[in-house]
Amino acid sequence: MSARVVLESLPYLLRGTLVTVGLSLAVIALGTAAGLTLGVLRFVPWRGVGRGIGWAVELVRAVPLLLLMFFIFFGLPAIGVGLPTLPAAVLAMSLWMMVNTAEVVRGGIQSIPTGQVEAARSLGLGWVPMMRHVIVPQAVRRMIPPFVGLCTILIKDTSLAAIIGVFELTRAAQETIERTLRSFEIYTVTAAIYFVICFPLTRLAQRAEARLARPS
Amino acid sequence: MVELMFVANDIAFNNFRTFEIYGAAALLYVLLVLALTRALHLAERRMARAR
Repeated sequence: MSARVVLESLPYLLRGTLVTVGLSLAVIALGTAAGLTLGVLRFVPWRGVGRGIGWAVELVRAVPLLLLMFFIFFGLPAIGVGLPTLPAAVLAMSLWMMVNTAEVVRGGIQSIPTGQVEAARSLGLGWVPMMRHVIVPQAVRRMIPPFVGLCTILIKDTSLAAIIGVFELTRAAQETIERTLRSFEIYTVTAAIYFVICFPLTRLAQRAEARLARPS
Repeated sequence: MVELMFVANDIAFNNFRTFEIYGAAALLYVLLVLALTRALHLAERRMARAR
């Protein structure tokens, strides 16, 4: 184990880390906003809308993230829609995040007892006020642990963007290894950086779970 | 390992028909997942009935 190689490579790896964090934040922001909307729209009382959204979510969820990324980056240019590496990665990962967040939202809303819906209806609340004031505030508490888990998975999966050429942490590690041939040291440091990013989130999810388990 | 993604990549990089090949691979994944989901639902229902 060569500490010198690690120290010399650290600034380059940290540059990749910044991109990983930025990419994750962008995808979490875009994917969560779209996923929340999609997840709530799944429960609109209009016939067919919820079912259509459900099918669309299932279709995208069935496709691996890597294939989604390849389809957007290599496949879409064939029909004239070419995207640079970073936007292609953001789009693919945001789609993935969107459908998975929509599933978390669905689970959260469905876990609310039907008595709450009946109580809201008996007060004369329409669909929007019922969702806004009764269902969603309760469901959000239950959505937090799986959502944090989803974010952790997403941060780790940003490494897939390296395959289509996005410069992020894994790509920085690969380039450093090509230069130094010190794969053990560099991959260990890279794993440690991913751990440092993801561990606080995992702890956060555990805390949220513990808090939710406590009787209110 | 030669699996679906590997084969799709191989074909796509040989004939440059990326849109069609990745589309077909996506469809195969969807079919696989839907079949598995269906099978698990059936198993779940059967086990619930047995109980």
